[in-house]
Amino acid sequence: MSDPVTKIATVTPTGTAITQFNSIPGTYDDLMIIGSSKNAYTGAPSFNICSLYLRVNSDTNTNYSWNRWGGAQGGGEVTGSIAQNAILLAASSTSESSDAGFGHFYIYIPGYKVASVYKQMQLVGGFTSSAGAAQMGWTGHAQWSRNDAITDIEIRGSNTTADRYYVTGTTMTLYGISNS
Amino acid sequence: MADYEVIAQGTLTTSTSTSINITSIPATFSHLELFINNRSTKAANTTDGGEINVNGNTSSVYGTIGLYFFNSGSTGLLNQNVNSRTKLDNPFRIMNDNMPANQYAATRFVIPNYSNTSVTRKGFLIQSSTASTRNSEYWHFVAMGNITTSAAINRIEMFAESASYPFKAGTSYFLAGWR
Repeated sequence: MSDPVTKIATVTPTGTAITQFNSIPGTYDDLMIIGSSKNAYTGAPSFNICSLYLRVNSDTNTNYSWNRWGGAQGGGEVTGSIAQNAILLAASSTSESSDAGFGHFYIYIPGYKVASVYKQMQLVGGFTSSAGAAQMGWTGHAQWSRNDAITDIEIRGSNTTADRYYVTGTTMTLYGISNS
Repeated sequence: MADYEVIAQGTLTTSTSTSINITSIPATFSHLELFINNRSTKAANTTDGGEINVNGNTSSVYGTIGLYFFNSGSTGLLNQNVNSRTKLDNPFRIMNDNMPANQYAATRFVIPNYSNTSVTRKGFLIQSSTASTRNSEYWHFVAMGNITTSAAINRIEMFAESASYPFKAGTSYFLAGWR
């Protein structure tokens, strides 16, 4: 019996780098990503500013759906969106002056190579900021509405805005999970 | 060398311990995963919250943010600002001892990058729940606890609700490392 967990890769992106796990082998049953993230934005935090953007196999089409519920500074939050061009993970803190925060998350992807199945992801995450500002702890779910095996995963610090790229300390690890 | 290893585990054989203290956590892994399945000696048909101290740090460096569903569908917000507490306050649920026998409360924590000194606020991703045959008493909780520190986490101590109500025998835990 093989080891149930295999570390595939660790990335520590900074500056304009993008988190990329490429050429993921099809030798496991499930995937798990565990990470911490902080971006370079120096303004006030918000859910969108503190979001990471996840895409699969370089697919930029509207094949992603996601939802989450959890506790936020202003109260409970339940939200989601379908037919998007990325999965949003509210799990990256900002570099606001007094903010020592980091966002943290994990993503579990069962059956990442199974044919004829849209790929599902269990999400758990959160971010903090300076005292009294935005913060959140949440769980959620996402779908990539494609049947293809997942071979590449990218996680961007921002969808479009250059000043939200990663800063030092951002670290993400991809694991392969074997069930037999 | 396995990429997932149990670092510490145990099951209490007496009902006298008011804390479970995991020490000398090595910095050789990337992430930690911690489970506790617990019940207290408190004579009440309710659940309560435990506490966690990290590295023996008792300064105001802790906070927790999350949402819970409990008893008959009510919801509640646990909103503790960062650096507002001297411990993780209510990060896991405890099953009290007048609840149906042999039923314990389960919590899973994932602690990303626990030994990375560039990560200046460590996070405890929390999923905690209770369910029992007393169907009016349940609790489902998702949250992130946080501690503002660059230091590697080398000690985690989980406390019962109070020194008056130790964990009950049968309470179990394990800590694992993701390489």
